[in-house]
Amino acid sequence: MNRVETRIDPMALGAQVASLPKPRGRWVLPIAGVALVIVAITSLAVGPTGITLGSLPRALMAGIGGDITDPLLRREHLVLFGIRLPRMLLGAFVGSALAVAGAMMQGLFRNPLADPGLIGVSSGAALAAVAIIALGATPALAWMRVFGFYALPVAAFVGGLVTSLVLVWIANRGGALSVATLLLSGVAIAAIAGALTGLMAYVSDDRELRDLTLWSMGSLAGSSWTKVTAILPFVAALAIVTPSLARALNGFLLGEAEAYHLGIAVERVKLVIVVTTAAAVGAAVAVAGIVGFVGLVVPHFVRLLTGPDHRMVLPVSAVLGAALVVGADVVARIIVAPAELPLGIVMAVIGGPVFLHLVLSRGVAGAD
Amino acid sequence: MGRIELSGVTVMRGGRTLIADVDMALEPGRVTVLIGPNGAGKSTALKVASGVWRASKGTAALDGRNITDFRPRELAERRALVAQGASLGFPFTVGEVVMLGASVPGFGLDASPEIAVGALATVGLAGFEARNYLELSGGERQRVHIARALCQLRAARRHGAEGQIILLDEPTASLDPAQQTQVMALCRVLATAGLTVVLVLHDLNLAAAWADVLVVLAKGKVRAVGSPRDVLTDDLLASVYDWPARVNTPPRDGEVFVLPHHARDMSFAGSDAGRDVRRG
Repeated sequence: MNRVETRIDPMALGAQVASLPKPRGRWVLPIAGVALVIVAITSLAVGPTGITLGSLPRALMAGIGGDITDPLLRREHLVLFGIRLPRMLLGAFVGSALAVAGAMMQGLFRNPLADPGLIGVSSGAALAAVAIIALGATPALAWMRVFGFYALPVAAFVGGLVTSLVLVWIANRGGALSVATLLLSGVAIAAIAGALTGLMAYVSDDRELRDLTLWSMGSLAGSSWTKVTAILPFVAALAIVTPSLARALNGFLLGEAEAYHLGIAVERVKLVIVVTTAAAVGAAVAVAGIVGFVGLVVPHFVRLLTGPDHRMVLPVSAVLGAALVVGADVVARIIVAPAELPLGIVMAVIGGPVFLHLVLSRGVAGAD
Repeated sequence: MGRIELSGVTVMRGGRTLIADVDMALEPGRVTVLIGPNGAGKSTALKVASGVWRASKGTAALDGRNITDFRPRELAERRALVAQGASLGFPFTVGEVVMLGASVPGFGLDASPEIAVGALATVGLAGFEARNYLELSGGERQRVHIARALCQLRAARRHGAEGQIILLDEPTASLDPAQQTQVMALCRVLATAGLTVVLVLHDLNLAAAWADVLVVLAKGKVRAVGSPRDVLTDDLLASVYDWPARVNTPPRDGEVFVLPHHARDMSFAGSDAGRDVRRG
């Protein structure tokens, strides 16, 4: 009975006819790209100063050939380059960074509920950024001035990094990671950081800091080329590092020990992932405050389209994250015009139900 | 090629000694089965042998070279692990999970999905490629992970790897008896093909029927090594498991099997279940 013959040579190669299904979602990336372009053009065209779609190319191209004589064109050109283009670019960068950071954290923690906003990383980054504004003139933090206008993103990066490292420490403490522990720890960290952020706003006279909605709810209202320049190196670094992490993240989904058995240098890759996500979240928070749910909604939606392979999830999340935040910002600008909603409120309206759906359909354990 | 030797291995974690001064040779072409009660150190020994844990004292060597000197990538080409209760919280297709086995940088398995398809056929899951992993039964998931390990080794073999090792931590835990036999038969075939096959098992009869070498661990120490016939004795089981059992050797095919003994004296004594077990 125990000498069962298995006729298949166990180590034979290609004994079977290859018929593995094709990788899912190859068509998703181009479609996401088209969606981003459409949303971006809408974002440029919508606002108190109506720029029709027809005049958009003219306003964009104006100025290349020298002075603009037509006063209407001149005004459109100014609105476009002074306000809308930086705002659109900033939204795209913030969306990409948050969506990719969310996808990477979910891979690292092996759970689709790990969003930088939900587990407190954004709050930690915001606290550090606010601390620089409120206490930047004090001797303790004056040295941060060497970073110039990069001081805010650098501080937010450090704040996000510290929070991430605390979370990794919590996650690894008892051996197996409890997702409930992770989420609840995140809630606690977010509450503490939020309280300290609020406190700093009141001890400071700084006008920028008085605008608490930026830090607590997120907004692209103060967009400028300076902010675009400040976030650009972080986004560029993210774009360079992330593709090399996709395979490792796939391995991580099986568990850390399994990832090691697949040939992944686990500890080193884990550190790279934590630093990269902190940089992404820090940069996004420094320019737009806490914009929640992007890192939750986008990767979740993308996985429905492409499956969970990070080689597809990461690039598609980057594109759709950009489209989502730029689109949400358009909604934030027009829905109560001429006033403006905080971006975070629009995102919460979209993200809250998705989060609830995820929790209810999977249980907080989130595993199987 | 493919010989793992543990010499004087002690592992201490969080102030506790998990295994102490363990010597063990895992030979190619053989099915080596680690048995012992819970907490005996079976999984710890397996982790040291696979290089994922470092020995606090002593060495683990693969073909004479200290296993901690290998880079993760080198080790991945030589040995694969089917972990205990492996799980996956994301909706991969079965084919994608198996392909993860070849996610080692440089394998380039994407170009040869027939390895993944073949691995699934080997574990009896032909045609499961497009199924959602999360919708499989426990036994099917277990076999998917075995296929993933096979995929890893086969992909590495295509790149010229030799002397390969497969480590399975309680691979039969969630399988029905027929599937258990299939998995053990697969292990036998892999060993015949020259691989080093190492398993942790709880089922003594499965171990007795399929092991070439049994390693009995208790309280972090090796208590006995040898063929099932030599190792499995009433006295050893009584002392290792603190469990009175009777080892039987039927005359027909000469293979030993283990029966619980003195069931009436145990805590569930008197129940019908106890009597049924005793009658065998």
